[in-house]
Amino acid sequence: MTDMTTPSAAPARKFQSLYERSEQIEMRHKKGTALRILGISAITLVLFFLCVLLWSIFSRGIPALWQYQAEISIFYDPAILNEDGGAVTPEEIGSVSLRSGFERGIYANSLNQSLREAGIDTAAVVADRYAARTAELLAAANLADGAGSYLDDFRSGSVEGGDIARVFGQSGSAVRAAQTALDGGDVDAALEALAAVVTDLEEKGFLTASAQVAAIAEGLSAETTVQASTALAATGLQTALLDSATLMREPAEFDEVSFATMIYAANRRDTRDYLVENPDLVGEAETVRVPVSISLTRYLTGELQGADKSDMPPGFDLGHLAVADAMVEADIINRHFHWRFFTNLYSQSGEITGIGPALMGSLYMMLVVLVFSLIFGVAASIYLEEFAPKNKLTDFIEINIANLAAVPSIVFGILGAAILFALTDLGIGSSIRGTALMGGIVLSLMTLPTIVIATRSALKAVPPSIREAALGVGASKVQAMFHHTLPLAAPGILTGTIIGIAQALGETAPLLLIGLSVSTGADILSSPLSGGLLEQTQSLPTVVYLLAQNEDAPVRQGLAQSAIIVMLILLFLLNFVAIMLRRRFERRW
Amino acid sequence: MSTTDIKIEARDVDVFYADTHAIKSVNVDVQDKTVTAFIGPSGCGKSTFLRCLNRMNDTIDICRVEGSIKLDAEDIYDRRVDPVQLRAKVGMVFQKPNPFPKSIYDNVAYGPRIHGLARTKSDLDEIVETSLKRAALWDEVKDRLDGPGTGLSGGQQQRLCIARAVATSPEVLLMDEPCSALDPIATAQVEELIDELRSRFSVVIVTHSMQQAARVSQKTAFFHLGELVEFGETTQIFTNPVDSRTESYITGRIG
Amino acid sequence: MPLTISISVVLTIIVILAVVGFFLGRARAISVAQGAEVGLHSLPKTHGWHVALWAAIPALVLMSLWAVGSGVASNMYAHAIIDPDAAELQIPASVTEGLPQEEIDVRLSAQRELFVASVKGLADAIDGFIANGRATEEEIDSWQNDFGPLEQRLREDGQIIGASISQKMLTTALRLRSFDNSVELLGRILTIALAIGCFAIALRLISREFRARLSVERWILTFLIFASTMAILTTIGILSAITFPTFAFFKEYGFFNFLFGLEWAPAGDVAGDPDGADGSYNSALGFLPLIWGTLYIAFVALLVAVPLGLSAAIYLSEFAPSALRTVIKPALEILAGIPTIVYGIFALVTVGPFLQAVVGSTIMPNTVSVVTAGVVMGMMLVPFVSSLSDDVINAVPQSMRDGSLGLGATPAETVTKVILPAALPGIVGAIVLAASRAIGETMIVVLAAGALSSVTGLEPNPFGAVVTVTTRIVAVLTGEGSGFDSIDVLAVFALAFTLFFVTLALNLLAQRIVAKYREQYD
Repeated sequence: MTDMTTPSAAPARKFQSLYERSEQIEMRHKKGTALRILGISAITLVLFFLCVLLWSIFSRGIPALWQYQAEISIFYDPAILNEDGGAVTPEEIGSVSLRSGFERGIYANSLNQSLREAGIDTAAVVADRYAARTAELLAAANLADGAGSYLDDFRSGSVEGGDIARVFGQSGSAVRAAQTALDGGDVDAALEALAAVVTDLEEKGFLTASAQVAAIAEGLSAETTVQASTALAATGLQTALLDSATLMREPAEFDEVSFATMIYAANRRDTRDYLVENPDLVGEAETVRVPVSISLTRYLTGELQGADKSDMPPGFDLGHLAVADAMVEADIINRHFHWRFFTNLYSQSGEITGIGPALMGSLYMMLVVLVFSLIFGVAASIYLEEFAPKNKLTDFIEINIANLAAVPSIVFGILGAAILFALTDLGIGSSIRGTALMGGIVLSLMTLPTIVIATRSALKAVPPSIREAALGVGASKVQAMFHHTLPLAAPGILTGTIIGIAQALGETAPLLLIGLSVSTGADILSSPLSGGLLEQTQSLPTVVYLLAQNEDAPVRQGLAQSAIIVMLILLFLLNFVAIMLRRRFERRW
Repeated sequence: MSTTDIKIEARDVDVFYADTHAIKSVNVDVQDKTVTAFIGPSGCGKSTFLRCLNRMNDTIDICRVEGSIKLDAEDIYDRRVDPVQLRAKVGMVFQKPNPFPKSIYDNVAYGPRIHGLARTKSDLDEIVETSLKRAALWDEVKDRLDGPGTGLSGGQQQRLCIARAVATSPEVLLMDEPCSALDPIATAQVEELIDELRSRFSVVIVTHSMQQAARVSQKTAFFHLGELVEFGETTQIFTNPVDSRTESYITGRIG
Repeated sequence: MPLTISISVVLTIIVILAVVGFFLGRARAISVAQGAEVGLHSLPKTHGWHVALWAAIPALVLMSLWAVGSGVASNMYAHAIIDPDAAELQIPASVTEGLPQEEIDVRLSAQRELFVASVKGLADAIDGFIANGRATEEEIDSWQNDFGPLEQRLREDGQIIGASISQKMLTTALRLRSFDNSVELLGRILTIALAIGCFAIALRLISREFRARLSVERWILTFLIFASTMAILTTIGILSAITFPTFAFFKEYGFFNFLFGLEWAPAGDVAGDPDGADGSYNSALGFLPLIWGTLYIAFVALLVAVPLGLSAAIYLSEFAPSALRTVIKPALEILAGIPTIVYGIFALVTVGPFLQAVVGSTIMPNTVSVVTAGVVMGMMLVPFVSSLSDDVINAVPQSMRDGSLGLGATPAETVTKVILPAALPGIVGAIVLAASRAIGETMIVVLAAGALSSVTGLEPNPFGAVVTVTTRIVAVLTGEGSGFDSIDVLAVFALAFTLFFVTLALNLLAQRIVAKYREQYD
C-alpha cells in the first residue's frame, strides 16, 4: 500500500558544507541571542529594583537608629519643685506643672547649666550667628565696610539688635524711596532721594555703597531714569539692608522656652513619677541623655539647612541653630544607639516613639495564630484526609479551602469587622475591638487555608504502605494516624505553618479594619494569661503604617524604615528556620 | 550517489556520561541509500550512539563525545559545525510519537518554515503534501490538515512524525525504535515506509526486535555493553554471525 | 461580702480533677483487670485519659460558652432594667415636634443605647476602682446616697468615664454589677459541678469490659470534626458577613445606582434615614470610579509584571546554566516574601518622587498616582508570574523539545514556536491569577495611589491619583465619624462583596484554564 511517489517537490539541494554557516542560520542564532538578552535584562531589571528597595530601606533605617541625644546633667532643683521654698515632699512634686515646672524649669535650666559648664556662652553664640549672617547679607551688596562696627557693637552687647535694625532699616527705606522715585520717572525727586541715600550711607560708613549710589545719581536725566532704576536695583542694597534689619530684629533672649525647644523633655510625667518615688534625689543631679527635639534632628541630618525662613525647622530660628552647632562641637550632642526605640510606646512625637507594643502585639498574635491555625488546620486536614467519608460534601469543602487561600487578605479584615459588628449588637464588641485576640483570630482564619493545604500535601506524601502496615498489626485508624503518619508528616506541616505565620506577620490591611490602634493608646501588654490578649494592641506592620504617615521626615523616612528592618529580620529568621527544617527533615520516599 | 558511498563514517567513538564510559571505541559506516539497523540488548548503548549522529547528546550537559564522526567526509564535531545546520541534514524520529500540539499541517510545515525552504505558500503546501505522501499518511488526513496533530491514532502520529522529519529533505534519517509504541498493523505500515524511504535517504534504525531488523535493513550492527561487537550485511549477521556474543544474542541466550 | 470564685481557682480545680482522674482511672483499670491486663480492651493509661478528658472538656466548653453568653446576658439585662422614665432618655418635646414617628423612634433608641453604654462604662470603672484597691464592695453601696465626689475620685484613679454621673445611672450600674457578679458566680459553680459530675461518671464507667480507647477516640474525632467545621464556617462566615449588609445596602441605595454611579462622595448619612432633598441620600456611592482605579492600576501592574516575569521564566527554564538558576530563583522569591506595606512605603517615599522628578509636575501633580502604585505592584507580582510560568514551561514534556531540536531548530525557536504555544493556557492562567492578586491588593494602593476622599468620573491620566475599591474599604472602616449604622459603611460591605466575587471568579477561571491545559499532557 504505497503512495505514488511524486517527483521531488523540493528543489534538489546543492551540497552545503557543514563547515560553512549559512547566513540564514546566523540570523536565527541572532534571534536566539536576542531572546537570551531579553531574559537577562528582565532579571537584571527586577533584581536591580530589589536592590534599590533594600538599599532605600537600609540606608535610611539603619542611620535612624542612632538618635541625636544631648548629654546633660539634670539637676532636680528644689527651688523649682517647691516655689515657696519649703520642703519638697512627694505631694509637692506631684503637683508641679509638667510644662512650666519640668519642661521649662528643670530640663531647661539643666540644659542651660550644662552648656555653661561646657564653656558655651549661649548669648554670645546666638549673637555671633546673627551677626555673621547679617554680615553675609551686607557683604553681598558691598556694604561690608560699614557693617563691621555695627556688628561688633552688637556682638559685644553694647548695642541692641533693635537699634541696629533701625539703622539699617532707615537706610533701606531711603534706598526704597530712591527706587520708587526712579521708577516713577521723576528726575528731581529721584536726585533728591539719591542724594539723601548717599549722605546716609556715607554717614554710616558704607563708603563703597555710597560711592556706587553717587555714581548712579551722576548725570541722571530724564532719559536715563530707567537705566538708573535698573542699576539701583542691581546693587541689591534695598534687599540687603531691609533683610538685615529684619534679621537684627529677631534675636530675643535665649530663655528657658528656647532651651526647652532644643530638647525633648522626655517622659516628663515619668520623670515626675520617678521623683515622687525617689524624693531623696531632690537637690541632686544626675547625668542623663535626652533626645533632641525632632525639629533639631531635621537640621542636624541636613534635611533643613536653616538658610532661610522656608528652610527653618518649625519653632526654630538662627539662634537655636547656632546653639545647636555649639553643642555639637562641644560633643554635648552626639548620636547614640536608640535602644528605647524597641521598647517605647508609639507616639506622634518622633523623639520617643517606639515599636515596643507593636513587637509584643505581633508576637502575641503569632502565638494565637500558631495555636489556632496549627491545631485547627491540622485537625481539619487530618479529618478530611483520613476520616471523612468521600462524598460531594467533602469535595466541596476541599475546593473551598483551596479558594480561600487565594482570597485577598482584606476580605478577612472585613470578616473581622463584620464579626465585631455582630458582637457589638450583642454588647461585647467594644471590648474585643483592636485586641491581640481579635487580631490573632482574623489572622488565623487567613492562615488556616494555607496550613490545611500544606498539611494535606504533607500527609499525602507519606506512602500509604506505612498506614497499611500499622493497620495490619491491629492499630486503629486513629492510632495509625497519630502514631505513624502524623510524625512522618510533621516536618512538612511545620514548614508550612512557619511560612503561613511569616505571611501573617506581614499583613496590615485586615488588622487595620478590626481597629488595631490607628492612634496612640496601645501600651506594653500584660502577659497573655492575665488578659494581655484582651488589651488594645498594635502590630509591626500597622505601626510601620503609622510611622510612615508621621508629619516629621526623620520619622517617616527614618524610623519607619528602621521598623521595617526589624520586621524584615523577623521574617527572614522565620523563613530561614522553615528552610532549615525542610532541608534537615526532607525525606525522599 | 551510488549505494556504496559511505554517508556517515564513525571512527573510535567514545561516549562518557560524567565518569561512566558508555560507548567504547565504536567504528561503523552508514552507507547512502541503505537501511542500517542497530540491534542489541537494552542498555547496550545503541540509542546513545544514534543520538551522537545528530549531536542530540549535546543537550545533555554531562555527556562527552570523543573520536570522529564524519558526514560526507566532514567531521560533525568540528567546532565550526553548527548542530542546527547538522540536524537539517540528519533528521530524527523518536520512540514515542511526539507531534506538536499544532495542526497537522503546521506540524509538517514546522521544519521547512524554520529553515526557510519554501518561498511561497504554495511551495510549502507542496512540501507538506509530498512529505505526508512519503509517510503514507496523505490519504487519511488530506481533508483535515487543520485538525490537531495530537488527535490522530498512535500509528498515524508516528507517521506524522516521520512526515515531519522528511519534510526538511534530510540526507540521513535516524529512527530510534520507531515502532515500539505501535500496534502490529501500524508497525507493518511504518516498516513498509522505511523500505521506500531508503530510495531517497540513508536510514539508521535502532530496534530491539531482531525480526524487524532482518525485515527492513540491509546492514546490521550489533552492540553489546557499549561496544560494537559485529557489523556487516544483515543476512550474514543473522545466518552466520562471526562473534559468539552475536550468536548468543541472535539465538536468544542473552538480551 | 459577696462570694467570688476567681477564674484561676476554677481552672486549677479542673486541672487537678483531670490529673487526679488520669491516675485514678488508670489505677482502677488495673484493679478491675485483677492481674490479667491483657484481658482489658485498652491500655490502662487510656482509661486514665478517658477520665481526664471527661473531667476537663465539658467543663472547659461550658466555661467558654458561659463567658460569651454572660456578656450577652449582661447587655440584655442592662437594657431591661433601665427605667424608661429616666431623665436621660427623654427627648424634649420641642425637638420631637414635627418629626415623623419613625425618626423619633430612631432617636429614642439611640438615646437608650447611649445610656446603656454609659451605665456599662460606669460599672467597668467601678470594677477598676475596686481592683486598684481604692474602695471595697461595702463602700460602694453607701455611695448611692452620696455620689457627688464619686466621679472625681474615679477619674483621678485613671478610670475612664464618659458622661457625668447621675443618680439613675449609678443605681442602674450597681444593679448591673450585682447581676454580672451573680451570673459569673453561677457560671463558675456550674462549671465546677459539671467537672466533678463528669469525673465521677467517667470513673464509674470503668469495668473489665469497658472500651476506653473508643471513648478517647470519640473525643478525638469530635475535636477533629469541630475543627473541620471551623474551616467551613469561615467560608460561610465570610459569605454571610458580607452578603447580608450588602443586600441591605442595595435595598436602601439601589443596586443600579451603585453599579453605574459615577461619583463617590460619602456624606455620613445614616442608613434608612436619607438626609438629602427628595428623600435620596446625600452620599454618592457609585462603584465605577473605584473599579476604574482598581482595574487601571492592575493593568499597569500586569504591563510590568507579565513581560518581565515571562522573560525571566523563559530564560531561567530554558537558557540559564543550573548554577545561575539556583542563585536567581531564590533571589526572585525574596521579592515575593516582602510584605506589601514595605512596597507601599517604598512607592510613596522613593518611587513617587522619582517619577515626579522625571515626568514633571504638570503631568504628575502628586507623587501618588496610578503609575507609582502600578509599577511597584508589578514588581511585586513578577516572582508570582515568573514562578508559575516556570512551572508551566517545565511541565511541557522534554519530548517536545527533543522533537523540535531534532528537526534542526535553535533552542530559541523551540521556545518561541513550540514550548510557549504549548504552555500558553497555563501562562494565561498564571496571568489571570496575578490579575486577581493585583485587584485584591490593599496596602500598596492605600499608600501610593491616592487618598482622595471623593472622586467623580474616571481619571484617565496614568500619572494622576485614583481611588480603588480596597482603599475605600480601609478608609471608611478606619475613619472616625462613621458609625456602624451609616450608609457609607454598608456601602463598604458591598465593595467587599464585589471584591470577593471578582477575585473568586478570576481564581476559578485560572484553575479551569490550567486544568484544561494539564489534560493535554496526561
